[in-house]
This record gives sequence, structure tokens and C-alpha cells, in this order.
Amino acid sequence: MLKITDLHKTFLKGTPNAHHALRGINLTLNDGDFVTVIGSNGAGKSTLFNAIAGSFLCDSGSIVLDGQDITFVKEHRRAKQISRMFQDPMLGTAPDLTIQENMALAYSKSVKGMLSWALSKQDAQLFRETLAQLNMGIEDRMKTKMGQLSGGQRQAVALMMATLVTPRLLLLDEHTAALDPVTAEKVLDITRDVVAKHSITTMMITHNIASALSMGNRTIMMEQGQIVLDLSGPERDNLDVSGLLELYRQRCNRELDNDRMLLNHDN
Amino acid sequence: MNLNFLLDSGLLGLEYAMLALGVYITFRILNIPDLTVDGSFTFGLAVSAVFAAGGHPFLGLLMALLAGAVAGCVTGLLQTRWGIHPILAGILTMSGLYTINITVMGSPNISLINSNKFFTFLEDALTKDGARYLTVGVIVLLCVGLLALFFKTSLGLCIRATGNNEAMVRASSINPNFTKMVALALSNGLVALSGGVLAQCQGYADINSGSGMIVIGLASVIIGEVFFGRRSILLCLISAVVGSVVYRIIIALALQLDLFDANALKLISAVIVAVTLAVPAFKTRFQNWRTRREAGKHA
Ligand SMILES: Nc1ncnc2c1ncn2[C@@H]1O[C@H](COP(=O)(O)OP(=O)(O)OP(=O)(O)O)[C@@H](O)[C@H]1O
Ligand SMILES: [Mg+2]
Repeated sequence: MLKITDLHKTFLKGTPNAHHALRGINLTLNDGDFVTVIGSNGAGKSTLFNAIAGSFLCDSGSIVLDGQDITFVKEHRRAKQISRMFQDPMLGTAPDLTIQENMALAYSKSVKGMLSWALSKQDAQLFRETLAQLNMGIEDRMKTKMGQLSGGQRQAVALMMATLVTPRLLLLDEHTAALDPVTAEKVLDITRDVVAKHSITTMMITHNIASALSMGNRTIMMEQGQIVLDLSGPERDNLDVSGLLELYRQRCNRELDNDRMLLNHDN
Repeated sequence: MNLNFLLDSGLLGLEYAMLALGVYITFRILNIPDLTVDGSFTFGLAVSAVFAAGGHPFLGLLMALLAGAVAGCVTGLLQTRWGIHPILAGILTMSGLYTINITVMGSPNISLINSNKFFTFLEDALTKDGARYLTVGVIVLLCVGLLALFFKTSLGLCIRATGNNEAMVRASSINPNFTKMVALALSNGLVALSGGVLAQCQGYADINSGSGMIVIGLASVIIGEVFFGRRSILLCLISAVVGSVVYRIIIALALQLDLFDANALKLISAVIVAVTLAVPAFKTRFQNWRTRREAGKHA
């Protein structure tokens, strides 16, 4: 459903600071794939997500989603099919709007017209029911300003917002990295449930190798703007954290002559 | 002391209420202080006066609204398409509008003494003051009502989110450049309507009427917030109207009591706005100072 072909991106092209951040990415996702993405800092993971979501245009290569070439489609248009979440809970929600207004904003992606009411009684009920699934009691605070929620609560709501209108592709960029371990685990559980429930094709960046292996059906590893490892099936099932770290060490030494290893957090 | 001035300044406050509403939209909702205001206010004043002088007072108000909206769109384009800093974009439009305004008016001032105004048709029944109070009141009510409804629509919600988290608007598959344009058009349309109403109510238009309007608008919004705080949108809109009226009453009271000279008005307004905007900073500083002092005591 997603097909990326030979994608290249150089930042600050033509200046001494030019940085070749994506170096020929080839990636094909199947419907319902849940891919975890790992790699050291600066490997280009977020850049790949930005490229898919359309934050910038790439220098060459193509991105095809559901048979439609979106290489040059504007970011807000791609957002109809692609939902994203970021590490920073502040980025995904509007702090001065109420929780239900935030949900309404995410819901405006559905076919509603621009001049229809943002928050009908039915909508409000739907939003309550959606948030009730979190079991965090947020559904009783629908008129609270978003900014008054804790980071974990905001991230949980942001996840429900990202999936309120089921996206074709969900991009999660370290969406639990700013949370304490218990809350992070909870948000990961919710992620697992929501993704499974609507069988959403998902890519999730994480620095936590254990969850990279335990979640989803496929793991890719990035290094210096390239995908250096693509694991799925039995090969992935039989791998544990130390096995993956070893594999990474081998790959990067042999192919990239580079042992800059920052794959920590393997708790 | 003659208390008639209270009624007069109340009416003046209502005439300027649309200015306050417009400034509220950019300053508080969009989070951009938009300096187009000084130009679009005069634009509305000029257009309304020219139409009224030509015998079309109602059309004059409508055209003033549209003229302001166009001015807002120009600022919007400069900001979004041309990537010019929002403050500078407003200054450029405002500055360019001076030429447009004087061209529209044909002379630096227009008198409407002998022309029909939008409230003339009620004058026989209600006296001049009554007619003005009623018509301007209806216009203000309409504006507040329609705005309150508008901000409950999807587009309205997106505009509110734009000032809050632009990335999120984009994530909801709406172009934030579009929402900014709509908000700037709406805001400057209201500001120009205010100018248009004022021109007909006072019976003349002057090319220099617009200078300092942004500060008056800000002062009204801020004074309103003292009474109502910042809660629901409807309350905020009402608070801008009340702020505009209270501002006029404060000024009139001060002039009546000879507290200061009429020439000092602009300076006083600027000081009011500056001091009010500084309150949060002063509060933090005061708290830090107190914390340090407490810490010093225990050391
Ligand atoms: N807008 C930009 N302008 C210039 N350089 C950029 C830009 N965005 C990313 N880069 C560079 O591209 C490289 C890849 O960055 P990216 O954010 O994709 O890394 P990452 O894999 O997400 O790392 P992390 O795990 O730290 O989040 C980095 O060297 C970064 O400096
Ligand atoms: Mg990153």
C-alpha cells in the first residue's frame, strides 16, 4: 500500500553544510503492516517520516500511497490519509482548546463541510466514548483545556485523535519517549490495541529495542540515511534484544565501517 | 457635572466595538498583532462616507466591510504566500492603504451633514440619539451573534487552532494559510465596518482618523478581559464590546474631570496597553523577588 522508491534528500543543498540525510530509501509496506523503526541518533528516521508526511519535498525518488503518487502532494492534503504523532506531547494537540474541541478538530478530517457545526451532540458523544476506551477518566473532563492534562494523558488523547478518522497510514515518531516508563507502557498498550482494532498500517520509531521486537510484525533499521536491515517472519521472531544488537553491530561494521552505537534504553 | 457624556461615550464605544472585535480576532485568536488595522479602519471610513455622500448609506456599510476584508486578504497573502513577517506585512498594507484611502475620498475629508445616514430613517420616530443607539446596537449584536456562531463551525474551530498549534491544523488536513487569510479578512472587515459606522455617525470622514486604532483596539480587548477573564468565545466577544465601551467612558470621564488634555489621549492609551500587557512579567518578577528574599531569610 505504501511504496517508496529510491528516495533521496539533501538538506542545505549547495552549501558547505549540505547533509545527505536520505540516501536511496526503498521500502514497500503491505496493508496492515506494523513496522518498528530503529537506528542511532541522526540516522534519518524522523527525516523519512517527514518525507512520507510531506513536510518537505524530496530531491528524487517517489512515494506512492494506495496507488496514488503523492511525491509532490502538499502536506495538509496527505494528512487526509496519513496521521502522525511526535515525541513532544505539545506538538500533537492545541493546548488552549478544550479536549472535545481538539477531538472535533481531528474529526474535521472526515467529510464534514467547513461551515458545519464543529461539535454536534452526536460528535460529543462519539468523542466521549472514544476517550472512555483509554480508561483514564478523561471522558469526564471533556471541557477541560488540553494544556491542563499531563504529558502522558495528552499523548494518549493525541493517539485517539490520530486514529479517530481511521488513517491509511499511521506514523509514530518516538511517541512514548517523553513519558515515564509506566505511562509509556500504557500508551504502547493503547497503541497496540487501537492499531489492531482498525488494522491500521503503522510505522513506529523507537529507541527501545525490546518494544521494537515485541510490537508489530516487522522491524527495519536505519543507518546514515539508508535502511540497513529489514526483519520479519521467523527470522525476527527468533531474535532477542542482544541478538538484534549483535546483528546491528555486524551490519554497520561491515557495510558502513562505523560502530557509532547509540542503541541504548534496552530495558 | 452633566452626565450626558456617559451616553455619548457609550454610543462611541459601541461604534468602536467592531474595531475591538476585529483586533480580538487577530491578537487573541490568531496570536498575531495585526497592524493593518490603522489602514483598514480608514479604508472603511472612506468607503462608507463616499457611498453615503452618494446616497447609499447601507450599501456604504456593506462595502466598507468588504473593503476591509480585501485589505485583510492582502496582508494575509503577504504573510503566507510571500513569507513576510506578520508585523511587517501589516505595516506594508497599512502604509499602502493611505494612498488608496485618499484616492477613494478624493480629498482629506468629506462632510456628510446633508446626506442620509444608515440611521436617518429612524430619526423622526426616535430622535437622532435614539436612532443611532438602536441601529449601532443592532449592528454590534449581529456581529457578536454571527461571530459566536461562526467560531462554532469547523472553519471557526480551525482558525482558533491556527493561533494555538499550526502543525495540528495541517495534521487535520486543513491549510493553515487558508485559515489565516479568512481570519485576517474577517478581522479587517470588522475593523473597516467600525470605521464605516463611525463616519456616518459623526457625519464626516477624515483621512487621519485611523492613526492609533490598533492601540485603541488592544486597549478595549485588554480592558474587557479585566472584567470577564478569558473563558468561552462568546464571553470573549462580549468582553471586547464591553471593553470598548468602558474605554470610551474612562477617557470621557478623565477629560470631563480635566485629568489630562485631549492631546494626551494617545499617550495614555499606549501606557494603559503597555502596563496591562506587562502585568504577567511583573508578577513573575515579583514572585521571584519574594522567593529570593524568603530564601535569604532562611540562609
Ligand atoms: N531541517 C533540517 N535541516 C538540516 N538538517 C536536517 C534537518 N532535519 C534533519 N536534518 C539532519 O538530518 C539528519 C537525520 O536527522 P533525523 O532527525 O532524521 O534523525 P533521527 O534518525 O530521527 O534521529 P533521532 O533518533 O535523534 O531522532 C541529522 O543529521 C540532522 O541533523
Ligand atoms: Mg528523530
